[in-house]
Amino acid sequence: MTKGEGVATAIAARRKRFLARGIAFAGASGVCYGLYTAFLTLAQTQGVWGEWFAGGGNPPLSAFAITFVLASLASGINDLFSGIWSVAACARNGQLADLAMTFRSRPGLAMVACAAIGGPVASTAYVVALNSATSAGNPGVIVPIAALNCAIGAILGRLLFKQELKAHMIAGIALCLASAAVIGGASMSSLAPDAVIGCLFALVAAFGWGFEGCVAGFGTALIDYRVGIAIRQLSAGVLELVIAFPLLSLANGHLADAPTLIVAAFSDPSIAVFALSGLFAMPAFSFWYKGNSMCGTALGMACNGMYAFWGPFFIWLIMGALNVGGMSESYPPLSAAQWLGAVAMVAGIFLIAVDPVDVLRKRKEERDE
Amino acid sequence: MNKKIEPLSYAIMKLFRDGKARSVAGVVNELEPLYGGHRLLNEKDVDEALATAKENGLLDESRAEVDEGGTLRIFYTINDYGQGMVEKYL
Repeated sequence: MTKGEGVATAIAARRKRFLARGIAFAGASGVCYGLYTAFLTLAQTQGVWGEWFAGGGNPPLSAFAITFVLASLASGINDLFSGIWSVAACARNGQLADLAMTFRSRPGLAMVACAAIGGPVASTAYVVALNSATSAGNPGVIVPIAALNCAIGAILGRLLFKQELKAHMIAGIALCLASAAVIGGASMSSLAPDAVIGCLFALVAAFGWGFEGCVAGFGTALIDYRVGIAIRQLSAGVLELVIAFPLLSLANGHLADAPTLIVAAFSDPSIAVFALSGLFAMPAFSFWYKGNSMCGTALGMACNGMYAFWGPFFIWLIMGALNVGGMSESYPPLSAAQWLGAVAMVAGIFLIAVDPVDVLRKRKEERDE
Repeated sequence: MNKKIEPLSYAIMKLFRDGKARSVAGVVNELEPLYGGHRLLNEKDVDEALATAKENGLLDESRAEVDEGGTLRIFYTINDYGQGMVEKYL
C-alpha cells in the first residue's frame, strides 16, 4: 500500500464512522422523542390534569381552553423542564459561561427565533391538530402529515443552504412518508370536517418543525449543540408559558384563570412526570440537531421522523403493556401493519443515506480491477 | 480569572479567518493560552466540532496525512461561505 492509499483508506473509514454516528444520534433522537411523548401523555392523565380533561376540576374549563390553553401549558412545562436539564448538562461540561455569552450573540438570538417557531407555534398547532382529529374519531390521520416536517426540512435545506437532495433521497423521503401514513393508520376516505381542520394544523406544525430543523440544525455549526439545545428549550418553555399560554387564556376570555392553572399544575404531584418527560425531550431535540449537522438535514430528519413509530410504541409500552397510570385497556398494542410500516421506514432512511446506483457502480469497479 | 471573551465554538471558527490550514492539534495548541481551562478544549471534542463545520460547508479539508503512529491528521481551511458566515454572524 502506498502512502497516498493509506490516507485515502483512513479518510474513507473516518467518513463512514461520522455518518454512522450521525445516524445513531438522529435515531436515538427518535427513540427519546417517543419516550418524551409517552411521558407527556401520561402526565396529562394524572392528578389535576385528569380532572381538567374530564371537564371537572377547578377552575372549570371550556372546550376551547381544554384544546388550546392546556396544550400550551403542558408543552411549556415540559420544555421548561428540559431547558433546566440542558443547563445542568452544560454545567457538567463547563459551558455555563459559553451559554451566557452565546445567548447574547447573533446566532444565539437566531436560535431563540427558531424556538419561537418550533415551540409555541408548531407544538401548539400539533396538539390542536391531534385534538381536532381525535374528536373526529381519527387521531392517526394527522401523524403522517406532521411527519412531513422531515421532507419539508430536507427541501428547505436544499433551497436555503444548498444541501444535497438527490433522486434516491427524494425516493427515501417518499417511502418514509408512506410508512408514517401506514403507522398512523390514516384513511383519507373517512375524513370528517374536524379531521380536515386537524390536517391543516398538522401542516402548520410540519412547516414549523421543518423550518426549525434545517435552520437550527445548521446553526449548530456556529453554536455548540449542547449550548444550542439549552437556549432552544429554555426559550421555547418561557415563550410558551409567558406568551402563548396567557394569550390563549385571553382568547378564551378567562385571563384571570391563567395564574390559577399555573399554580395548580406546578403544585400537583404530576409535575414529577413532566420532569421525566422533559428529561427525555432534551436528547430528543439535542440529538436531532447533532444528527442533522453530522449527516445532513434530509437523513437527520428522516431518522428523527421514526418518532411516528416510537411515539405510539412507547405510549403502548408504558401506558398499555406496563399499565403505568392504570388505564391499560385504552392503549392497545400495535398492529402488524404498524410494525411493517416501521421496517419500511428504516428502509426509507437507508435509501436517503446511501445512493444505490453509486454502490452498484463501486461494486462493479472492484470486480473489474 | 475569566479571560474568555466569547464561546469556545466561536473562537474555533474565528481562528480560521486568516486562511491558514489547521489540524485538530493546531487548533488546540493555539487556543490553549486563552481557553486552557475549558473542559471541551481537547482533541476529541475539537475534532467533532471541525468535522461538523466541514459537514455544514463552513470549512474544507485541505489535506490529510497519516503520522508515524498511524493516526489520521486532517487539515482544514475556511471557505468563502464559512468566511461570510463568520464575518456576518460572529
